[in-house]
Amino acid sequence: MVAVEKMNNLNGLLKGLYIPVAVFLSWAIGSHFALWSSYIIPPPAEVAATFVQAVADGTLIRNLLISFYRVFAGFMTALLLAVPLAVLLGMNKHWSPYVHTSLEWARHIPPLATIPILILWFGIGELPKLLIVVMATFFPIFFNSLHGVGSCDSKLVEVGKSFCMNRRQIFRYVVLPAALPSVLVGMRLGLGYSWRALVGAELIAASSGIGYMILDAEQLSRPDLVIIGILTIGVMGTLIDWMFFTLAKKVVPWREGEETDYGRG
Amino acid sequence: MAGVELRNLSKQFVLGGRALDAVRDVTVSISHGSFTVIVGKSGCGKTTLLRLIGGLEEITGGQIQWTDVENQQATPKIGFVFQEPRLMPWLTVFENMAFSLAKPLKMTAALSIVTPVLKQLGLEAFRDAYPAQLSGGMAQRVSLGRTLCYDPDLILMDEPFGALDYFTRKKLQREIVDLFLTQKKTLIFVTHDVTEAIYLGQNILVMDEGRVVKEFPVKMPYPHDFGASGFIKVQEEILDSLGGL
Repeated sequence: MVAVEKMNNLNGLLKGLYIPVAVFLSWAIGSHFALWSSYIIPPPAEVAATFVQAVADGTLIRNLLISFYRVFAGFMTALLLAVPLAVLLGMNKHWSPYVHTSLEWARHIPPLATIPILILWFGIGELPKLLIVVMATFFPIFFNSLHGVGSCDSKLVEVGKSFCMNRRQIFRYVVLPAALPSVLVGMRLGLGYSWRALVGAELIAASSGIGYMILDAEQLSRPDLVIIGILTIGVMGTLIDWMFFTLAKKVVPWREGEETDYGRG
Repeated sequence: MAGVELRNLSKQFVLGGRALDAVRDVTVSISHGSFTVIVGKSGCGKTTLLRLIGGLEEITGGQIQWTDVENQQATPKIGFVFQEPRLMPWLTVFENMAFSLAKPLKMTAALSIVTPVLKQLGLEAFRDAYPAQLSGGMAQRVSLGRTLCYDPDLILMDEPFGALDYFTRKKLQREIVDLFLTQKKTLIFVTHDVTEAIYLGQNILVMDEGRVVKEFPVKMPYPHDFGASGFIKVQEEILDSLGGL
């Protein structure tokens, strides 16, 4: 049974590599036969050499670590704000009308649209970038957590009541674990959004980070470095998502196999 | 063990602006260590009556008085087995059964309470399984186990076998009878199945339109035998009181 599962996983992984391999081969063949200018799309060998150099001189690692730090700080701030607020509103539904309109309005504003005003208010330091990540991450975590807390099966709550649990115990032992899968879906979505928003912010207002590295490379006419930046963002995003999904499977083992749940953004 | 006196018990719901009397003026006495079954057609108010006894619904009128073995006023521990298993999907069988225990829970205490019940209900092999991995009968058994671990004075069961197949239902009915005989707790069981009511109950309350219209003490040696002549007779009497088939 385990062997069959492993075979299926391997099979799925191989199928997922078909398109990237095809794209890489097209890129290599096109470059070899000079189907396009090497200035626009540098050949794979040149990109690989630049990659080795960027790793060796620390450019890539340094910018990547700065971006990681910003994503982590912004994501954790959003998490600490969104989950308690969702729990408060989910448990006290009569508060919802006071905040619903404001939150609904705020969630439609693309975080990047606020960069000019954030720079005006806070300068070009770390704070605007942190706020961009918080804004991008807050809403998916908040709305999914709110959905998780609010949609807890009343029949399960009644089980808690039937065993004379008080309100605090029902929250701790019924509502919170029931909401956990939705919170995790929100976190997973938020993590993806935070990465995207940060790179956007770094492209506009930063002097470090992976987004800045790409912009700097563009200004220096270094498409090889731009490609490395783009590929790194994709690989890191996929890696973070995979790590989070693996962790989520351990935390909520009873929901194994529900990875298609993309939640509420 | 606990006994209960229901005096002029009533429950009214308001549905779409209209008042609906789900339970009307029920006066019944249920003694300690007895097995009472409430039987009636769908919508007759039997589940509402059970939920009123279990404190899961507010009483509109009348009162419930609890007594202990010495007939003194008491506040009993009540365990409820619902129509659906209502297991916590994030907990294993063992954890679900320990769910009813006082929190925070000490593992040694949980082991000493849950392990014998797991064994009694034949669930040892499934202790680490999640509810989604269990059959309907197995899940209902875990639900019963959860209530047994709570060690209540009174167990209320709301059609717990309603969704099960014939064979599983028969098996669980026998297990309930064994449980009653060994633990001697006060049991109140709701069903719409007259045969099940006579097999399980020592005392049967027939409900119709929110009222207890008749009370049948089943005067046969317990556990009741499906083939006994008295069994058919009680069955006919109950069906007659419900207006026949």
